[in-house]
Amino acid sequence: MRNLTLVRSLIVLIFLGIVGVVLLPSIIQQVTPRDIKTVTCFIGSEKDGFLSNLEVKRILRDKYGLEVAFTKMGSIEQATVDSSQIDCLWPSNTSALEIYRDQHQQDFAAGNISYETIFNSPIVLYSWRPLVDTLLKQGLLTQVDQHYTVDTARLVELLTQDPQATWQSLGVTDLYGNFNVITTDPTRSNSGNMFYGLFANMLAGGQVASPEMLRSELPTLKEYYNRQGFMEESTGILFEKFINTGMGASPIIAGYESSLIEFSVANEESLNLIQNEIRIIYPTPTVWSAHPLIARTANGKLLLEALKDPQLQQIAWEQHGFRSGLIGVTNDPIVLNIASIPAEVNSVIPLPRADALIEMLAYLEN
Amino acid sequence: MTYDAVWPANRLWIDYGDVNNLVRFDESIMRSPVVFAVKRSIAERLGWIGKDVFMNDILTATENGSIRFMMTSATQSNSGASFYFGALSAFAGNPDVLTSPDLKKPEVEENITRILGTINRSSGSSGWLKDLFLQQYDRFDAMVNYESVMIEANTALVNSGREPLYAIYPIDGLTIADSPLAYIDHGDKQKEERFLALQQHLLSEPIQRQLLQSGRRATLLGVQLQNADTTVFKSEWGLDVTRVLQPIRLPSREVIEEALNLYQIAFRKPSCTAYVLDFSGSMVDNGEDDLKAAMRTLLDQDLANQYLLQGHPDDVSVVIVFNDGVINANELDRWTVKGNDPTQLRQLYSQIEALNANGGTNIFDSARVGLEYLAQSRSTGCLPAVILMTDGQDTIGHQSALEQYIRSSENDIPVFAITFGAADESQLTPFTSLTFGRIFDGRADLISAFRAAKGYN
Repeated sequence: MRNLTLVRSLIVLIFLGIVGVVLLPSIIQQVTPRDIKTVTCFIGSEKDGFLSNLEVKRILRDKYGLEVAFTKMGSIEQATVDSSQIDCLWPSNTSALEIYRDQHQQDFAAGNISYETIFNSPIVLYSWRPLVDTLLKQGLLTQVDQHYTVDTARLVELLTQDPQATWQSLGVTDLYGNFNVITTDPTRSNSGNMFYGLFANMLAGGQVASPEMLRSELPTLKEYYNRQGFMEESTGILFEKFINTGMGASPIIAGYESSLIEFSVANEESLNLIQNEIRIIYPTPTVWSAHPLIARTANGKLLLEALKDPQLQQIAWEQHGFRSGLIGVTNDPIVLNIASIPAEVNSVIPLPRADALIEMLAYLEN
Repeated sequence: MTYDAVWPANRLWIDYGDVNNLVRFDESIMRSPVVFAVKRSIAERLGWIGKDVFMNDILTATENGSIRFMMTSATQSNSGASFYFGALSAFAGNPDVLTSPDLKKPEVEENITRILGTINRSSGSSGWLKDLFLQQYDRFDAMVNYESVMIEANTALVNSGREPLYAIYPIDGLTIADSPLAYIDHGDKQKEERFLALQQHLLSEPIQRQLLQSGRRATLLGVQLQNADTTVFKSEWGLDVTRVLQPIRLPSREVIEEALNLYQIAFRKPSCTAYVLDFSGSMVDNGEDDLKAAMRTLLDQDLANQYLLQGHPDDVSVVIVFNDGVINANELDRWTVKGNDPTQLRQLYSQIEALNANGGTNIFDSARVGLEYLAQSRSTGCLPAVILMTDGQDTIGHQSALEQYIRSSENDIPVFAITFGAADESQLTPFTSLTFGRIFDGRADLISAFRAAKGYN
């Protein structure tokens, strides 16, 4: 069953890659300042670091004559607010793409709007050494090389069982209260949203939850949601808070794999400490956060092409931890040593359909 | 005024206040837990040294008189709010997270009112609370404050040969301040770059090391400190920096809002406030309008609500207006409102609105009327304060008589003075500091100054 969903998810990814390609004459020439075109874009906040990277800005400007003026926005929001005045959208999941395509079917069919998945990053869990050591002994986690995996179905069982699982019952004597995984606010941030999608798939017995199945799981999801209280709106901030406030405040969080790579590269002098203390756990299966760039205008299309530049793809991977979303691009595994992450993430399940997810968000909010 | 950056003690307030989504680049600069800092000998007597202490233990000790403590207002200052949320969570039986039904549980209502009722002095600022604690060291035993501020206080205490405080981390009601510095984006790219440079500077290794040396938990990972400097984080002050600190999960925005409103209108200790207001001739030009607007902000409950300064059913508010002397001295009852009835408070405001400024300035005698009136009329269960506003210099009143009165009176009523126009701080400082009060500069923004002063009451 799981292998089947895996194959299906890979097919989806490949499909997105191929259909999205729009060939444009490549513009590889030196440009003078007056040729610089400003591309306006909605982006997910996790790509702020990449687009603000001076080297990225330089390549876009000197090689492609482009400058990106972006507004950070949640993925679903990007697809639902008025985008008529901007050149491109760059959400962090394919649900946003699906929603946007439903609303602009003719433009997509006529090729006025094109898109392609530029980056990928799996949803992972982050935790701390003492906690992971204990959970490993308890058999909840498995170590694979330098990283860890958790059976997602078992994880969801722990999060939903009645009475709730406590830290103490899992052998964690340093923490009081109930076992929990902290996410961003799923109604306002993509990583939280995707974790809830994955959660829903597990409640549906480990398959992609159909809209009907998801509907029947809503009360369970809502109960988990209500237990969370104040939730961060941005994955970057949740990760930063995890880093800053430590094991007591943030025992386990859900986020993007790219966050740890970006953090490790930015703090290379403390790499030993980071590797000693922080643990990355891959849910098995997990979900991919895909980053499709949706180009609405000629300028948007120029950016779409530019972002395929091998140098940019390399920076994205080596400094910001985004795996390439492009076909045929392999990510240099040297980076993997920095953050102790696997070369490939193979156990992946697609998200439930976009309309079902939207229904879930509305239910959670009310 | 337009600001370029914001640096609250907790990220929560950015989320709470950033209604127009202007805030970017927020990054925590340092961390500090909110502790219950109590004189060590008292902690020893209570058997708290090296033991797990719960909110109920603190409630018992403050209620039976073992501890006299001060805390900032939960609606005006983060340290007060943090302790308040921690106590609510503990009294609700430590749910995963505090919810709206929890706030309505009878045991929560009862216990939170009891613990807040034992507060002997409040403030709108954590730093100022520490200064007050040092000044009134003999009258208090404990304060709620940041671990880092307690370290500062202890350094001062030890230097002056007094007994230092011991940090209690309430097991079932702990919070950690994370001090995020964030940019308010008004579209100025140059400013943005300058902000980012400042932020990077504060996060650079030398500055982070300095922050750590000054008692802030500024480390790359977590709040546990490896190889902490034990001359800063002293274990005899209760500072065990290797232990896992598990704060409560903060409730959702709606629950926070509800809890803060309940604090103002139900759970907090009520206030007895005498507003002593200058209606001398010099106020005519512009001060008069601003003063009326400021009083409206506090008395009109719809406006007060916006700043979380609403009245409590047991509050007492009296307005004393003066020029050459107290104008309404013979009818103060008509200028007093007991409770928080919006109609009565609005009526009180319209009496102020109807006044016209003229005559001279008698600050000293009028302040004394305010103090005497509160001393006579206040019930024992309220936090009293005189909020005095003036725009001029006293050439009529009796300064030494006022100071004499303050020295001789047993009561502990602070005077918060707000300056405007030609007000002379050198006249105000002697008697406000005798009462352990404070001066607020209202010249730039009188309404904000009134709000701030009220936040100390």
